[in-house]
Amino acid sequence: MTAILAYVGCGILAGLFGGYLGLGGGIIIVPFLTLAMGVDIKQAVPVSMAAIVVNSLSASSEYMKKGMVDVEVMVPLALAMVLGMILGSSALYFVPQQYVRLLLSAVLLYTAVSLLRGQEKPKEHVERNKRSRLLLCCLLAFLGGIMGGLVGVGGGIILIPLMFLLFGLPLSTARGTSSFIVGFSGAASLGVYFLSGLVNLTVAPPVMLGTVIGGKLGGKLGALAKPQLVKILLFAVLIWVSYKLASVALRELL
Amino acid sequence: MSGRQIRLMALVAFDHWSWLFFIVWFAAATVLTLIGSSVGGTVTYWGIVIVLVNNVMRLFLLAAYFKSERKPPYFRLTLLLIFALVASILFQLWIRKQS
Repeated sequence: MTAILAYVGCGILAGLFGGYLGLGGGIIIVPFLTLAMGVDIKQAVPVSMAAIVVNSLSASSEYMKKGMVDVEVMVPLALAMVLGMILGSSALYFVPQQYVRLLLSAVLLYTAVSLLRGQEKPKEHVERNKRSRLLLCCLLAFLGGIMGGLVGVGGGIILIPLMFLLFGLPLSTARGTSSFIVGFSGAASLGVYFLSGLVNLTVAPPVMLGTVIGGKLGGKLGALAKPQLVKILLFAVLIWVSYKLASVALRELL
Repeated sequence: MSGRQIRLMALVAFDHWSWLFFIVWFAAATVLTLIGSSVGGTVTYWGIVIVLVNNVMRLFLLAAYFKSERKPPYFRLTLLLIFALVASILFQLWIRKQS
Protein backbone atom coordinates (compact mmCIF):
# COMPACT_ATOMS: atom_id res chain seq x y z
CA MET A 1 0.00 0.00 0.00
CA THR A 2 2.75 2.46 1.02
CA ALA A 3 4.79 1.59 -2.07
CA ILE A 4 1.79 2.12 -4.38
CA LEU A 5 1.09 5.52 -2.75
CA ALA A 6 4.77 6.44 -3.15
CA TYR A 7 4.61 5.53 -6.86
CA VAL A 8 1.48 7.66 -7.31
CA GLY A 9 3.18 10.54 -5.44
CA CYS A 10 6.28 10.23 -7.60
CA GLY A 11 4.09 10.31 -10.73
CA ILE A 12 2.23 13.42 -9.53
CA LEU A 13 5.51 15.21 -8.77
CA ALA A 14 7.06 14.22 -12.11
CA GLY A 15 3.88 15.25 -13.95
CA LEU A 16 3.77 18.62 -12.18
CA PHE A 17 7.43 19.31 -12.84
CA GLY A 18 7.44 17.99 -16.41
CA GLY A 19 4.12 19.60 -17.32
CA TYR A 20 5.19 22.94 -15.84
CA LEU A 21 8.49 23.06 -17.73
CA GLY A 22 7.42 21.22 -20.92
CA LEU A 23 9.75 18.30 -20.18
CA GLY A 24 8.92 14.61 -19.91
CA GLY A 25 9.49 14.11 -16.18
CA GLY A 26 11.90 11.18 -16.52
CA ILE A 27 14.47 13.27 -14.66
CA ILE A 28 12.40 12.67 -11.48
CA ILE A 29 10.91 9.22 -12.12
CA VAL A 30 14.09 7.26 -12.94
CA PRO A 31 16.13 8.43 -9.88
CA PHE A 32 13.11 7.98 -7.58
CA LEU A 33 12.35 4.45 -8.75
CA THR A 34 15.98 3.31 -8.71
CA LEU A 35 17.32 5.11 -5.63
CA ALA A 36 14.28 5.39 -3.34
CA MET A 37 12.27 2.31 -4.34
CA GLY A 38 15.06 -0.06 -5.39
CA VAL A 39 13.57 -0.75 -8.83
CA ASP A 40 16.11 -2.02 -11.35
CA ILE A 41 17.17 0.64 -13.91
CA LYS A 42 16.15 -1.71 -16.75
CA GLN A 43 12.57 -1.63 -15.39
CA ALA A 44 12.62 2.01 -14.28
CA VAL A 45 13.39 3.43 -17.74
CA PRO A 46 10.44 1.74 -19.54
CA VAL A 47 8.04 2.80 -16.74
CA SER A 48 9.42 6.33 -17.03
CA MET A 49 8.81 6.27 -20.81
CA ALA A 50 5.18 5.22 -20.28
CA ALA A 51 4.76 8.08 -17.78
CA ILE A 52 6.39 10.60 -20.17
CA VAL A 53 3.90 9.75 -22.92
CA VAL A 54 0.82 10.19 -20.69
CA ASN A 55 2.37 13.32 -19.17
CA SER A 56 2.69 14.82 -22.64
CA LEU A 57 -0.93 13.97 -23.38
CA SER A 58 -2.11 15.60 -20.13
CA ALA A 59 0.05 18.73 -20.20
CA SER A 60 0.15 19.57 -23.91
CA SER A 61 -3.63 19.87 -24.20
CA GLU A 62 -3.52 22.63 -21.56
CA TYR A 63 -0.90 24.53 -23.59
CA MET A 64 -2.84 23.85 -26.79
CA LYS A 65 -6.04 25.23 -25.20
CA LYS A 66 -4.24 28.51 -24.49
CA GLY A 67 -2.76 28.67 -28.02
CA MET A 68 0.75 27.96 -26.73
CA VAL A 69 1.63 25.17 -29.19
CA ASP A 70 3.13 26.08 -32.55
CA VAL A 71 1.97 23.11 -34.64
CA GLU A 72 3.90 24.24 -37.72
CA VAL A 73 7.18 24.17 -35.79
CA MET A 74 6.20 21.04 -33.88
CA VAL A 75 5.82 18.60 -36.79
CA PRO A 76 9.22 19.11 -38.52
CA LEU A 77 11.06 19.23 -35.19
CA ALA A 78 9.32 16.09 -33.92
CA LEU A 79 10.21 14.30 -37.14
CA ALA A 80 13.86 15.39 -36.94
CA MET A 81 14.06 14.42 -33.27
CA VAL A 82 12.45 10.99 -33.75
CA LEU A 83 14.75 10.20 -36.71
CA GLY A 84 17.78 11.33 -34.67
CA MET A 85 16.70 9.20 -31.73
CA ILE A 86 16.29 6.13 -33.97
CA LEU A 87 19.81 6.64 -35.31
CA GLY A 88 21.21 7.36 -31.84
CA SER A 89 19.69 4.37 -30.12
CA SER A 90 20.65 2.02 -32.95
CA ALA A 91 24.26 3.29 -32.85
CA LEU A 92 24.34 2.64 -29.09
CA TYR A 93 26.66 -0.33 -29.42
CA PHE A 94 29.15 1.30 -31.83
CA VAL A 95 29.79 4.75 -30.33
CA PRO A 96 31.76 5.32 -27.10
CA GLN A 97 29.10 6.84 -24.85
CA GLN A 98 31.54 8.57 -22.49
CA TYR A 99 32.61 11.06 -25.18
CA VAL A 100 29.01 11.69 -26.27
CA ARG A 101 28.07 12.34 -22.62
CA LEU A 102 30.93 14.84 -22.28
CA LEU A 103 29.98 16.56 -25.53
CA LEU A 104 26.30 16.77 -24.59
CA SER A 105 27.25 18.01 -21.12
CA ALA A 106 29.26 20.87 -22.69
CA VAL A 107 26.43 21.67 -25.12
CA LEU A 108 23.88 21.81 -22.28
CA LEU A 109 26.18 24.03 -20.21
CA TYR A 110 26.54 26.45 -23.12
CA THR A 111 22.78 26.29 -23.73
CA ALA A 112 22.05 27.04 -20.06
CA VAL A 113 24.14 30.23 -20.16
CA SER A 114 22.64 31.27 -23.52
CA LEU A 115 19.15 30.66 -22.17
CA LEU A 116 19.67 33.14 -19.33
CA ARG A 117 20.91 35.78 -21.78
CA GLY A 118 18.31 35.00 -24.47
CA GLN A 119 15.32 37.25 -25.11
CA GLU A 120 11.90 36.69 -26.63
CA LYS A 121 11.71 38.23 -30.11
CA PRO A 122 8.85 40.31 -31.56
CA LYS A 123 6.27 38.35 -33.57
CA GLU A 124 7.53 39.46 -37.00
CA HIS A 125 11.08 38.37 -36.06
CA VAL A 126 9.75 34.96 -34.99
CA GLU A 127 7.88 34.48 -38.28
CA ARG A 128 11.02 35.41 -40.24
CA ASN A 129 13.20 33.12 -38.11
CA LYS A 130 10.74 30.26 -38.53
CA ARG A 131 11.18 30.48 -42.30
CA SER A 132 14.92 31.13 -42.43
CA ARG A 133 16.11 28.94 -39.55
CA LEU A 134 13.75 25.97 -39.76
CA LEU A 135 16.26 23.74 -41.56
CA LEU A 136 19.05 24.66 -39.13
CA CYS A 137 16.74 24.01 -36.19
CA CYS A 138 15.70 20.63 -37.65
CA LEU A 139 19.35 19.71 -38.16
CA LEU A 140 20.14 20.60 -34.53
CA ALA A 141 17.06 18.70 -33.32
CA PHE A 142 18.26 15.71 -35.37
CA LEU A 143 21.75 15.94 -33.79
CA GLY A 144 20.14 16.43 -30.37
CA GLY A 145 18.02 13.35 -31.05
CA ILE A 146 21.12 11.31 -31.91
CA MET A 147 22.89 12.38 -28.71
CA GLY A 148 19.69 11.92 -26.67
CA GLY A 149 19.22 8.45 -28.11
CA LEU A 150 22.82 7.56 -27.35
CA VAL A 151 22.83 8.65 -23.72
CA GLY A 152 19.12 8.34 -22.85
CA VAL A 153 18.31 12.03 -22.37
CA GLY A 154 14.80 13.11 -23.41
CA GLY A 155 13.97 15.63 -26.10
CA GLY A 156 12.51 18.50 -24.07
CA ILE A 157 15.77 19.62 -22.55
CA ILE A 158 17.20 20.10 -26.05
CA LEU A 159 14.09 21.38 -27.84
CA ILE A 160 12.98 24.18 -25.51
CA PRO A 161 16.25 26.16 -25.63
CA LEU A 162 16.48 25.46 -29.38
CA MET A 163 13.06 26.99 -30.11
CA PHE A 164 13.61 29.86 -27.69
CA LEU A 165 17.10 30.79 -28.87
CA LEU A 166 16.87 30.09 -32.61
CA PHE A 167 13.29 31.09 -33.41
CA GLY A 168 12.83 33.56 -30.56
CA LEU A 169 9.56 31.84 -29.63
CA PRO A 170 8.14 32.85 -26.24
CA LEU A 171 9.22 30.35 -23.56
CA SER A 172 5.57 29.44 -22.97
CA THR A 173 5.11 28.43 -26.63
CA ALA A 174 8.47 26.64 -26.68
CA ARG A 175 7.42 24.63 -23.60
CA GLY A 176 3.97 23.88 -24.98
CA THR A 177 5.40 22.71 -28.30
CA SER A 178 8.09 20.66 -26.56
CA SER A 179 5.49 19.10 -24.28
CA PHE A 180 3.71 17.84 -27.42
CA ILE A 181 6.90 16.54 -29.08
CA VAL A 182 8.24 14.57 -26.08
CA GLY A 183 5.06 12.46 -26.20
CA PHE A 184 5.81 11.34 -29.74
CA SER A 185 9.52 10.65 -29.21
CA GLY A 186 8.64 8.87 -25.94
CA ALA A 187 5.99 6.77 -27.70
CA ALA A 188 8.61 5.42 -30.12
CA SER A 189 10.76 4.18 -27.19
CA LEU A 190 7.75 2.99 -25.18
CA GLY A 191 6.58 0.91 -28.15
CA VAL A 192 9.91 -0.92 -28.27
CA TYR A 193 10.07 -1.55 -24.50
CA PHE A 194 6.44 -2.61 -24.43
CA LEU A 195 6.65 -5.04 -27.36
CA SER A 196 9.86 -6.47 -25.82
CA GLY A 197 7.92 -7.13 -22.60
CA LEU A 198 10.13 -4.79 -20.54
CA VAL A 199 7.40 -2.62 -18.95
CA ASN A 200 6.79 -3.62 -15.33
CA LEU A 201 2.99 -3.94 -15.20
CA THR A 202 2.90 -3.62 -11.40
CA VAL A 203 4.92 -0.41 -11.06
CA ALA A 204 3.60 1.27 -14.23
CA PRO A 205 -0.12 1.84 -13.32
CA PRO A 206 0.38 3.91 -10.13
CA VAL A 207 3.19 5.95 -11.70
CA MET A 208 1.10 6.56 -14.84
CA LEU A 209 -1.97 7.46 -12.75
CA GLY A 210 0.09 10.01 -10.81
CA THR A 211 1.58 11.44 -13.98
CA VAL A 212 -1.82 11.80 -15.67
CA ILE A 213 -3.01 13.87 -12.68
CA GLY A 214 0.25 15.80 -12.17
CA GLY A 215 0.71 16.49 -15.89
CA LYS A 216 -2.68 18.20 -16.14
CA LEU A 217 -1.93 20.37 -13.08
CA GLY A 218 1.60 21.09 -14.34
CA GLY A 219 0.26 22.10 -17.75
CA LYS A 220 -2.36 24.38 -16.18
CA LEU A 221 0.22 26.05 -13.92
CA GLY A 222 2.87 26.13 -16.65
CA ALA A 223 0.55 27.98 -19.03
CA LEU A 224 0.24 30.73 -16.39
CA ALA A 225 3.88 30.72 -15.23
CA LYS A 226 6.08 33.80 -15.17
CA PRO A 227 8.77 33.55 -17.92
CA GLN A 228 11.57 34.66 -15.59
CA LEU A 229 10.83 31.90 -13.07
CA VAL A 230 10.62 29.30 -15.85
CA LYS A 231 13.93 30.52 -17.25
CA ILE A 232 15.64 30.09 -13.87
CA LEU A 233 14.14 26.62 -13.36
CA LEU A 234 15.16 25.51 -16.84
CA PHE A 235 18.65 26.89 -16.24
CA ALA A 236 18.89 24.83 -13.03
CA VAL A 237 17.68 21.66 -14.81
CA LEU A 238 20.16 22.14 -17.67
CA ILE A 239 23.06 22.66 -15.24
CA TRP A 240 21.99 19.60 -13.21
CA VAL A 241 21.75 17.31 -16.26
CA SER A 242 25.04 18.69 -17.63
CA TYR A 243 26.74 17.95 -14.28
CA LYS A 244 25.27 14.42 -14.09
CA LEU A 245 26.35 13.60 -17.65
CA ALA A 246 29.87 14.92 -17.06
CA SER A 247 30.28 13.12 -13.72
CA VAL A 248 29.16 9.76 -15.17
CA ALA A 249 31.43 10.19 -18.21
CA LEU A 250 34.47 11.18 -16.12
CA ARG A 251 33.88 8.28 -13.71
CA GLU A 252 33.92 5.86 -16.64
CA LEU A 253 36.93 7.47 -18.28
CA LEU A 254 39.19 7.88 -15.22
CA MET B 1 -13.95 31.52 -32.94
CA SER B 2 -12.29 30.95 -36.32
CA GLY B 3 -12.44 27.70 -38.32
CA ARG B 4 -8.74 27.19 -37.58
CA GLN B 5 -9.35 27.38 -33.82
CA ILE B 6 -12.37 25.06 -34.04
CA ARG B 7 -10.29 22.39 -35.81
CA LEU B 8 -7.50 22.70 -33.23
CA MET B 9 -10.15 22.49 -30.52
CA ALA B 10 -11.12 19.07 -31.89
CA LEU B 11 -7.64 17.92 -30.89
CA VAL B 12 -7.98 19.59 -27.48
CA ALA B 13 -11.37 17.90 -26.95
CA PHE B 14 -9.92 14.54 -27.98
CA ASP B 15 -7.06 15.04 -25.49
CA HIS B 16 -9.50 16.05 -22.75
CA TRP B 17 -11.67 12.93 -23.14
CA SER B 18 -8.55 10.75 -23.45
CA TRP B 19 -7.26 12.27 -20.23
CA LEU B 20 -10.48 11.43 -18.37
CA PHE B 21 -10.42 7.93 -19.83
CA PHE B 22 -6.80 7.35 -18.73
CA ILE B 23 -7.52 8.61 -15.19
CA VAL B 24 -10.31 6.03 -14.81
CA TRP B 25 -8.35 3.28 -16.60
CA PHE B 26 -5.12 3.63 -14.62
CA ALA B 27 -6.97 4.22 -11.34
CA ALA B 28 -8.73 0.88 -11.96
CA ALA B 29 -5.38 -0.75 -12.84
CA THR B 30 -3.81 0.67 -9.65
CA VAL B 31 -6.65 -0.58 -7.43
CA LEU B 32 -6.53 -4.04 -9.07
CA THR B 33 -2.74 -4.15 -8.57
CA LEU B 34 -3.19 -3.05 -4.96
CA ILE B 35 -5.65 -5.85 -4.15
CA GLY B 36 -3.38 -8.33 -5.90
CA SER B 37 -5.84 -9.22 -8.67
CA SER B 38 -4.36 -11.02 -11.65
CA VAL B 39 -6.52 -8.85 -13.94
CA GLY B 40 -4.41 -5.78 -12.96
CA GLY B 41 -1.60 -6.72 -15.35
CA THR B 42 -4.01 -7.25 -18.24
CA VAL B 43 -5.73 -3.90 -17.63
CA THR B 44 -2.33 -2.13 -17.58
CA TYR B 45 -1.23 -4.00 -20.71
CA TRP B 46 -4.27 -2.81 -22.68
CA GLY B 47 -3.94 0.66 -21.12
CA ILE B 48 -0.47 1.00 -22.65
CA VAL B 49 -1.74 -0.29 -26.00
CA ILE B 50 -4.46 2.40 -25.91
CA VAL B 51 -1.84 5.06 -24.97
CA LEU B 52 0.21 4.15 -28.05
CA VAL B 53 -2.83 4.08 -30.35
CA ASN B 54 -3.95 7.39 -28.84
CA ASN B 55 -0.65 9.00 -29.89
CA VAL B 56 -1.11 7.88 -33.48
CA MET B 57 -4.71 9.15 -33.44
CA ARG B 58 -3.50 12.56 -32.23
CA LEU B 59 -1.18 12.69 -35.21
CA PHE B 60 -4.00 11.74 -37.60
CA LEU B 61 -6.10 14.56 -36.12
CA LEU B 62 -3.20 16.93 -36.67
CA ALA B 63 -2.83 15.70 -40.27
CA ALA B 64 -6.57 16.31 -40.80
CA TYR B 65 -6.09 19.83 -39.45
CA PHE B 66 -3.26 20.55 -41.90
CA LYS B 67 -5.29 19.10 -44.75
CA SER B 68 -8.29 21.28 -43.98
CA GLU B 69 -5.98 24.30 -43.65
CA ARG B 70 -4.56 23.46 -47.12
CA LYS B 71 -1.00 23.07 -45.91
CA PRO B 72 0.18 20.06 -47.93
CA PRO B 73 3.85 20.14 -46.79
CA TYR B 74 2.82 19.92 -43.13
CA PHE B 75 0.17 17.31 -43.95
CA ARG B 76 2.81 15.14 -45.64
CA LEU B 77 5.32 15.73 -42.82
CA THR B 78 2.72 14.59 -40.27
CA LEU B 79 2.06 11.40 -42.24
CA LEU B 80 5.83 10.90 -42.48
CA LEU B 81 6.05 11.33 -38.70
CA ILE B 82 3.42 8.60 -38.19
CA PHE B 83 5.37 6.35 -40.55
CA ALA B 84 8.67 7.18 -38.76
CA LEU B 85 7.16 6.36 -35.36
CA VAL B 86 5.83 2.99 -36.46
CA ALA B 87 8.97 2.19 -38.48
CA SER B 88 11.24 3.17 -35.57
CA ILE B 89 9.43 0.79 -33.23
CA LEU B 90 9.71 -2.08 -35.70
CA PHE B 91 13.34 -1.24 -36.56
CA GLN B 92 14.44 -1.09 -32.93
CA LEU B 93 12.63 -4.34 -32.19
CA TRP B 94 14.52 -5.93 -35.07
CA ILE B 95 17.84 -4.59 -33.70
CA ARG B 96 17.03 -5.94 -30.23
CA LYS B 97 16.26 -9.36 -31.68
CA GLN B 98 19.55 -9.36 -33.63
CA SER B 99 21.75 -8.36 -30.67
